[in-house]
This record gives sequence, C-alpha cells and structure tokens, in this order.
Amino acid sequence: MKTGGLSLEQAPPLSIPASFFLTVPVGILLAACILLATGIASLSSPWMPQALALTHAGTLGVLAMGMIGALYQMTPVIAGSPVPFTRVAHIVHTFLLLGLAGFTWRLLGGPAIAMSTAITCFTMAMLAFLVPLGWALLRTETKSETVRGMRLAVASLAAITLIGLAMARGFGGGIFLENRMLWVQVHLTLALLGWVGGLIMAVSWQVIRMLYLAPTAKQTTMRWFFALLLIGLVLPFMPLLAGSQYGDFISPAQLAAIGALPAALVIWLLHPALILRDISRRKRKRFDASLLFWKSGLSAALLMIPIAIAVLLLPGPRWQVLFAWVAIWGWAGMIMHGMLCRIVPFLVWFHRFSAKVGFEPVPSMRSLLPENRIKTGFVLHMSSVVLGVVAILAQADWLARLTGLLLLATAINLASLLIHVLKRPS
Amino acid sequence: MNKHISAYFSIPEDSLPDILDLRELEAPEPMQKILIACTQLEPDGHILAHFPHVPAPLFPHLETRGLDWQVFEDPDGSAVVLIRRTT
Repeated sequence: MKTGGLSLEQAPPLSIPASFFLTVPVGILLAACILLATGIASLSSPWMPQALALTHAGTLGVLAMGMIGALYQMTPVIAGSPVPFTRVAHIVHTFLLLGLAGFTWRLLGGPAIAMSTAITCFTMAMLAFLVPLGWALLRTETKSETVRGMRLAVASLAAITLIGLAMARGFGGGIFLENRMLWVQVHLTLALLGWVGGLIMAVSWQVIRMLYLAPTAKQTTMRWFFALLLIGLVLPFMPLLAGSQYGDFISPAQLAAIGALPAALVIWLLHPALILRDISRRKRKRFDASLLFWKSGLSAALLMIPIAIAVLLLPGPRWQVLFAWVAIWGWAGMIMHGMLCRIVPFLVWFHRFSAKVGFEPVPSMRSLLPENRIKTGFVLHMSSVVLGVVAILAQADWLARLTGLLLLATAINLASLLIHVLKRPS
Repeated sequence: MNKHISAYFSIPEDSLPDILDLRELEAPEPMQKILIACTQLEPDGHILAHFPHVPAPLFPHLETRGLDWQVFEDPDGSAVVLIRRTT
C-alpha cells in the first residue's frame, strides 16, 4: 500500500501550521483589548460595531487561524492529498492578519479605507487558501466521513467569505445587502454550523480516537449526522429563493433560523452528547489536561439550543450576544484551545524527533507538554467565559472589562505555552 | 480475525507472526514502538502490528527506511499493518 502520494517532503513544514497556531493567542489578545477598551459596548447588542469587532476577533483571529492551520496539516495526512503551492500559506496568513487589523480598525472608528483594504486582504487570503486546498480535497481518493466533513467545512467557508465580504462593503462606504437580517442569519448558520461545526465534527472522529483512545461512532451514525448537517445548511437559503411572502407572524430571518434546525441538532446536541459519551468510555483513563477543554467545549455546545430558544422568545439583544459569546469562546474556542495544547506538541515531536526513533533516544511527546500551563490556561479561559456570561446578563461594564483582563491572561499563557513547545530543540 | 488477516496478506494462518497489539497506546506511542521494532527487523523478516487506526504518518518513515507495508482495515476503525524489510 502507498500513501496517496504523501511523503515526508510533501507533508507541510512545521512553520506553516505553527505560524497560524501562534496567531491564535494574538486573536485572543485582540479580543481582550477590544473588551478592555470598549467595555460593555461590545457585549450589549450584536449590531454595535464594537460587538462585531469582538465577534470577528474570535471567529477570524482565533477560530479561522487555528482551523486554517489545521487544514494545511490534516489534508495531506488524513485525506492523503498534499496541498499544492503550500508556501502560499504564508501569504494567506499575512493577508488574513492584515484583513483582521483593517476590519477591526474600521469598526472601532477608523476610516472607511481601512475596511476597503480589509476586504481586499480577505479576498486575497481566501483565494490563496481555498483554491489549492479545495483542489487537494476534491482530488483525494480517501472516502472517509472526516474527509467529507472537511469538504463541507471548506465549502461553507467559501460561502461565508462571499456573504461576509458583500456585507462588509456596507462598512467601507458601500451599501449594505438587501434583506440584511436574512443574509446575517445565513452567514451565521454557515459559519457556526458548517465551517466551525462541520470541521469540529470531522476532526473529532479522528482525534478523539487517535489521541485519547476513545471509541468512535459507527459509520452509519456519522453518515446520518453528515446528512442532517447538510440539510440544515441548505434550508436557510430557501427564504432567499422564496421571495418575501411569509405573512406577518414570521420573518425571513426567523424562517432561515428554523431551517438550520437539523444542523443545529447535530452540531449542538447529538454530536457533543455522543463525543462526551465516547470520552467517558476511553480505554486508558489517565489525566489529560487537554480533555478538560474538550469536555467543557462540548458541554457549552449543549447550551447552544436553549440559548437559541431564548434568542427567539425573550426580548432584548443580550441573548443574541450571549449566543455568540458562548458559541465562540465557550464551545469552539475551548475546543480550539485544547486541541492546540495537544496538536502542537504532537507536530513538534513528529517533525523533530520521529525520524530519529530507533536510532537514538528521543523524548516522549508527553514530556514536551507543560501540563501545568495547560491547566492554568483552562482555568483562565473558563473563568473568562463564565465572567463574560455574567457580564452579558448583568450588562455590567466593569465585569466586561474584567473579562477582557482574563482573556488577556489567557492569551499570554497560551502564547508562552506554544512558544515553549515550538522552541524545543531537536 | 487471524483467518481474515491470513487470507488478506496471503500468509498461511499457522505461519502468521504474533500480532503486536498497539491499540491501547495513544499517538504517537504506536509509531514509536513500531519504528523501534523495525530497526531490529532482519532482511525478509516481517512484523504484524494492530494499530488503533490507519497510521498514515508512519508510512513515509517506513518508506525512508526501505520497508514495505500492507494495511488491513478492520470495520471497527483499527488497522493491522504488515511490515516487511525488502532491502
């Protein structure tokens, strides 16, 4: 058997995923600074520019950075298909970072040209990322549910990029899209459930088994999950096709939210419940600090549907802010943080030591893991999430700024942990 | 299981080597164990190992070390890998 053309040379150099992973703490730092500078303004209504800046510091600065870095690493290894022009990843990284800087600057009061520049940078970054990676995922002969999930996530990223760029024009001196509320709902659905949820689900089927020796779902279960997710990502588009004849009792955006229900059920109920069960049944139950993040993130996922119901039924914008906060920093952010603590030492071990195994003594991967710093990171991250929830519910400015302080500490701890592992000499 | 493996790898059942069970080990320990075992592999010798999943990152290392391999994927997601020294 051969490896689908994969060789050590074709696997991406460590510098590629590492540059994205090292930017994750920068995204957390940006979110912390926004909270410290704007206080409760960034946690009071999802329509406030400060809230949009905070949300996208999380989605673009933290989640997208980690997920794009992971896709560069996983596509050759899991899909058995090397990404062509891998070095372009450095351009993707640079443009993504510049785009995020321009986007945030504009939303926090910068000139309109900052947004136009951000749109150009995001367009360049996404083209340079999606074309080669999409090509690698399409041509692979590997037919696993993980690969299907990766394809779905990347397709969702392409769609949310188009919608997001079109909506961002409104902040750059252009006009906002017609049916803005509906487009926001579609953008949100594809981003959280398709891009983030699709990738978390796909990766969990590999990682939970590989790194934690937990049993994984049967293939038929995975297929059902995948099918429901797909249905829930397509249905929100229907109100766009159907025009605006719904009567007065429901808005197109609410209809799109209801259409996303099958996907929401999979990503925020069935999948987390199943993985939590699998983790509890893992074969070797030794303590692993990174699992604390998985358990907390999956538990936060289970809160998403009740919060979504609160958004639909309860008055006031705070529920929408709470929804975004728990989704980004509680569910996806927690899992991302935990994965970085486990994957970065694995990659360092793989790139620097695996070739020497059998020829000279090499350190174990666990010896590269500073467990205490992972635990500290968990306490800081978890405290930030909980305090953020309290700040949103109480609408207290000082609590919002204190949350910013805790996120700042989380960013510093994560950065020092990643640098500690990446600086380990071979 | 041995019957399937013997048929898949075309090795008579009574000549099958002991299977090195690596399923209870977390990544990258299975790779570490198998690469150490491979350094002691005689010419024309072979190793049969049961992994918790298909060990894709291992294969480039086997290739670099002049080893050939075949994979039997079990429906439970685990994989039995036959490694031979060809040079």
